[in-house]
Amino acid sequence: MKKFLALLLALVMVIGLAACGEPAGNESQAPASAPAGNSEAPESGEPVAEGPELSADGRYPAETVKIGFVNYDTTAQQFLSLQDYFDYLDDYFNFEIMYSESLDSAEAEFAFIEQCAAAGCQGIIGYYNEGREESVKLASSLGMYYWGQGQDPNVQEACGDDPYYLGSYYVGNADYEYGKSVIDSLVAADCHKIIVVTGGKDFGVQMFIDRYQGMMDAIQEAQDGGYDIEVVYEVPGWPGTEDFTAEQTSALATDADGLASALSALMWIQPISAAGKMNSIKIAAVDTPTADMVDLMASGLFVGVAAEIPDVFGLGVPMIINAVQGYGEEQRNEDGTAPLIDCGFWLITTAEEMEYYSEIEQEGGTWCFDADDVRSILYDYNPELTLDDMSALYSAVTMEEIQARR
Amino acid sequence: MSKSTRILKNIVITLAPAVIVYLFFLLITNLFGEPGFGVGDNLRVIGYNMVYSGFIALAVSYNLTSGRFDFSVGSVLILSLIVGGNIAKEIDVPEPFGAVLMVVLVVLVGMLCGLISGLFYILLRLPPMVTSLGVAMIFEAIGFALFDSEGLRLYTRQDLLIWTKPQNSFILLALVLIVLIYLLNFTKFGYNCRSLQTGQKNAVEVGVNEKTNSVVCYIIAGGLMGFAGIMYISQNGIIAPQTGLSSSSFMMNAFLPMFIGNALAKYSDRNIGVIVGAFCQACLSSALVYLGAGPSMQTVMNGVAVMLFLIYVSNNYKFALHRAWREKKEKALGMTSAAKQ
Amino acid sequence: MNEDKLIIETRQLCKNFGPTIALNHVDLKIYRGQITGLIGENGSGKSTITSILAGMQPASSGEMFFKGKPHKPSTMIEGAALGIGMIVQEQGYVSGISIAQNIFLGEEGRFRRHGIISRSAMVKAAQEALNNIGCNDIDASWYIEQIDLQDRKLVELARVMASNPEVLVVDETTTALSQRGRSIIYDIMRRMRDEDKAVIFISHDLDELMEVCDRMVVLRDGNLITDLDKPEFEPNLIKRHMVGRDMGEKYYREDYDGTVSDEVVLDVDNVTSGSGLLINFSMQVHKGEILGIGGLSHCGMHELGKVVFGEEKILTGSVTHVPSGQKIRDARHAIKLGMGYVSKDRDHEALVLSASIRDNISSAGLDKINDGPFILPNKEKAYVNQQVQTLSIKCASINQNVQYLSGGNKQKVVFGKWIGRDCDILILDCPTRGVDVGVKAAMYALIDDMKRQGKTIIMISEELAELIGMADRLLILKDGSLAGEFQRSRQLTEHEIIECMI
Repeated sequence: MKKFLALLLALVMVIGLAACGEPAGNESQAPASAPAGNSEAPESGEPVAEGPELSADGRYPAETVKIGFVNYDTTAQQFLSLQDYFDYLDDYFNFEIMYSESLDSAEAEFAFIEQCAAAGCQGIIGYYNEGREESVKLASSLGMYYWGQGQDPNVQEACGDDPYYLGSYYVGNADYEYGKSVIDSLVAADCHKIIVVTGGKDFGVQMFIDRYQGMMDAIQEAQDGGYDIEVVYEVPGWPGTEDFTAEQTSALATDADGLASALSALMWIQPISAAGKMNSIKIAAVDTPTADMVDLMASGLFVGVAAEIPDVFGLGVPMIINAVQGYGEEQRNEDGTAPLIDCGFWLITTAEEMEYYSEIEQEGGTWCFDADDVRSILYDYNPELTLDDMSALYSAVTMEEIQARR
Repeated sequence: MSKSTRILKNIVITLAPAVIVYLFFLLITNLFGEPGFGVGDNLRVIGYNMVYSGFIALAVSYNLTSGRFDFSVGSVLILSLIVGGNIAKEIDVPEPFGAVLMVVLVVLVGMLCGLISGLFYILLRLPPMVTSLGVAMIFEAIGFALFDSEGLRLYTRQDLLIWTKPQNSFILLALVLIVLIYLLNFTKFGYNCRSLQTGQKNAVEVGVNEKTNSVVCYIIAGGLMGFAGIMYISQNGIIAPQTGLSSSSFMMNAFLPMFIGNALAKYSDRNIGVIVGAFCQACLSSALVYLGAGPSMQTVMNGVAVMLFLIYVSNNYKFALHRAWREKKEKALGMTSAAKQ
Repeated sequence: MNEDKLIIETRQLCKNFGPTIALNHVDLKIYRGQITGLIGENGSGKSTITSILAGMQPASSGEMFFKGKPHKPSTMIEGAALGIGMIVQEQGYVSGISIAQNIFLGEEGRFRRHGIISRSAMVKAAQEALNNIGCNDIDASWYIEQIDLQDRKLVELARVMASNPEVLVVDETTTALSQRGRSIIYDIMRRMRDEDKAVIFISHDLDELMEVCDRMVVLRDGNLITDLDKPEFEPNLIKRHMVGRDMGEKYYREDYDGTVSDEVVLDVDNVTSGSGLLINFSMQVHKGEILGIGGLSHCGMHELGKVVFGEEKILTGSVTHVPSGQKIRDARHAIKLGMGYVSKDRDHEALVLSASIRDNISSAGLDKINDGPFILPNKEKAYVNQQVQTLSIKCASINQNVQYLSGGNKQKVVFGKWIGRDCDILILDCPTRGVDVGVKAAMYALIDDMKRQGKTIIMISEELAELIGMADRLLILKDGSLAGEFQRSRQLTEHEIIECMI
């Protein structure tokens, strides 16, 4: 019985691994054959595909472009939104995404990139990057384009000239900006004594360190501007531990009137309510917009939510399609380096905005960048396209700007 | 020693760690000029943490003391909350029956999860640690797949979240303790638990059914994780599904209380010992927060506390040994000098 | 024998463990009103047959009948329910719980009143069970750890007897018992016989079996060799049946020359040990000497062995390795000085049961087979194979796990550990405990051989015969101190020594 079970498990594993390596429908493709066919592509300025089918029904480009997607958490809300976004774009363009499992090390990432090459991918979207420039170089050496990770100066410096590196969207240090805007919202809401929720700052998590730094700098700026503001308590960590509960209670025992959170602040509502402070504390947080936060904004409890645009990583798709279609050269900077295209983020301060953005995030009905927007940054559709045009689109992300485009 | 003195002595020894730890930190925090520890709001937090970690430690103790390391307890907490809590949220019941109904539902789902864990364990016959990892992943995945991956969001439902009020949580804990004390001390299940704990092979050979016993242990553990889940959601108002075994971090609260509970078991009852241990741990975490220790320092201190306690427990026989050595040495030297005279 | 009294019968019973045949078509009959002894060398099948009867393991083929009905218990519980009670060689109790709980393990339901198990009722019944076997001094409410190992065995006996069995199997239990325990167990066996019940008694101690049993069945290599009634009991005949050949006269050392060199190799000076009774003890050991150490249990002799090897805490005095002039600090130091130690507790202190023969033997000799930081497999294999050959250890391969070897072969592996190192001083604590006659003889020959090579042996033993038969000089301990010293002599009798011991 035991042997049988062991065999069964082994079989399941073999099948599972085989499925990872060679997604269904690509059995006939020889490993790495597709990238090899395009290995000279970046030097050419001519469209490779002659007479592309410029239809809007998912038949462009003529040949399916396969793209590997490097991910760190298959359960993250933003990732789930991105999956929806790719499904949406799939109705309009001929591409296919090969998702990684939740990767947690550079080794796992390299292995996935190699699998992508073997499966015939022509590009990689670096939603997650632990291997830094090595990941880019590996993709390049396997003949695949790489897009994403513009925040990392190492990548830009080491690979900026690599014809297979396509650059990235760029928000500067996004996390730092989120932190700053969280404090700015509290200042705008006339808060003076702030509880700062720092998440993984004290555990060495870079994202939280950056957000915290942004908050501290914003407080400093406000103070320099003559605004009376101070941090009355810092709460580190996550719920579920005894320390967190103890810190939370101590924090709420202060006379704070504002709470700035580097992570979702939904787990503060119940404690604030239990402490009878629903009307005396205002919250601003880095979070993902959701429908049930609309009421929280309307009630005035939440005064600001800084959020990343969910579909911004989807912009890797047109960049890679352009490169595969032979426009690699056109979408580079004048000095030939890969472009970092400025992009904004959302700072949600009203219930109306929350409702609009949460629909983008959750429902997928409207997107920040819809199929028309994507089409506008594809050279085959828009031969006059310039980097400036791309930049203009990337940074027009507020509710008004999106609505204006529709 | 008369029976009443023995009982009195056992009660004193059982409660001593709680009193000593509490007074110790009260003194320390006041010496450092941080009054407020152990009274008012802070005492409420200590009480909450005692109940919350106590439930988790009780759950873990039913399996770990018999050598079954169960990684799935955290995932049981999450899944039972997501399923039981979301159902309770939909049923319209007048206050405070909604909150009670939620406890019943969450605990039942927890027990069902425990039953599944137990069946996996006895049917697969793999090492319990391996089985529990697999079960944890399955429970995490189910919790993630249900209710649009939103987990349970109850922060708008004050009527359901009444269990952090000290009087309510203590009633909950007392009821659970009464049941557990009965189970562990006055039933065949309890007797079997203890014999299997120290002499599995021999116990099985004389007819103790290890399989039934372990399934029951898993069911109890599942139910207790349901209670812990109730405490969690009542404090935080929201729980998100977790994957990649991150749910296993929930059991980290369990170790110190459980070890203290095991050490106190011979003086009273393991369940009570675990709760005393949970109180000690809650005092430690609250005091560290009061003293302004950062989270990494708190983690270190908790680890040090567990280690020191284990060092003491596994070495305390040496005190008696050294005493015996000293007496024997004196006797030997006395004999030598007597022989010389 | 009156066939009406037949209670157990096996027909053509076989048991195989892989290619090993443990029982080979055995036809055994057990009668009421009799104590039947089972005797045979290690691995002869004695324990196998009783464990099949009790339900601990199934037979490979053949039939069994209990009280005339086919008998095929699948668990020990089933066997016990049918009326076969068994006291095993190994630890059969559960630690961490009370004596009463141990006695009624698995039967706690008997004491349930209104859903609550009454502890006091259980303790009362347990006390009755203990009193019933004559252990009035053991308090059933105590934790099992509060009584010593020998009394714990009696608790197991009380448990088995509490279920009122019709057949009692005593499997080599007496080796672990004190004289008091033995007499209790003998009384029980005789009482069972008088109540017209049956007893199966397994022991290595031929004298004990001849004394207690009414009938003796000899097994060898899984075959039933002979079946003897009391009048036919004759030690040499039984030994011959057990071993399958004439034992001859040569068993112990043949010479009676007790002279040894004057060179002292070990000087034990005024030592008091941390545990046990040993107090202010002094002795000197000479080169090439076999020094016998004897005494009653708890006299301190086992601690003495550990003290000499540096394994036991020393409170006063010292042990000096005279050739090097160094005081022994610990076991590692002792090994470095060329000493070896065979513990009495073979399974726990001398062997790693879950490791292979190869690992066990090479573990003590790694410094003899290493090439710089490396242990080369070929060299290790050669080293281990040599010991296996020298000691003729019966095994399928040197990679076999030690736990599946018979007691005698296990002991040979322990010997192999130290002989391979070529130790100059070897401390043997009960070296032939639980070992059958054939292996015993081989070990005596080996010890004699080592003596001839000029090696020093300290032999601690509970068997007076082997001490008299092997030692050049014999020290008797009593209450941790020296009670007497005897030189090797043809005239030395057990009687003289016993007088000194008690």
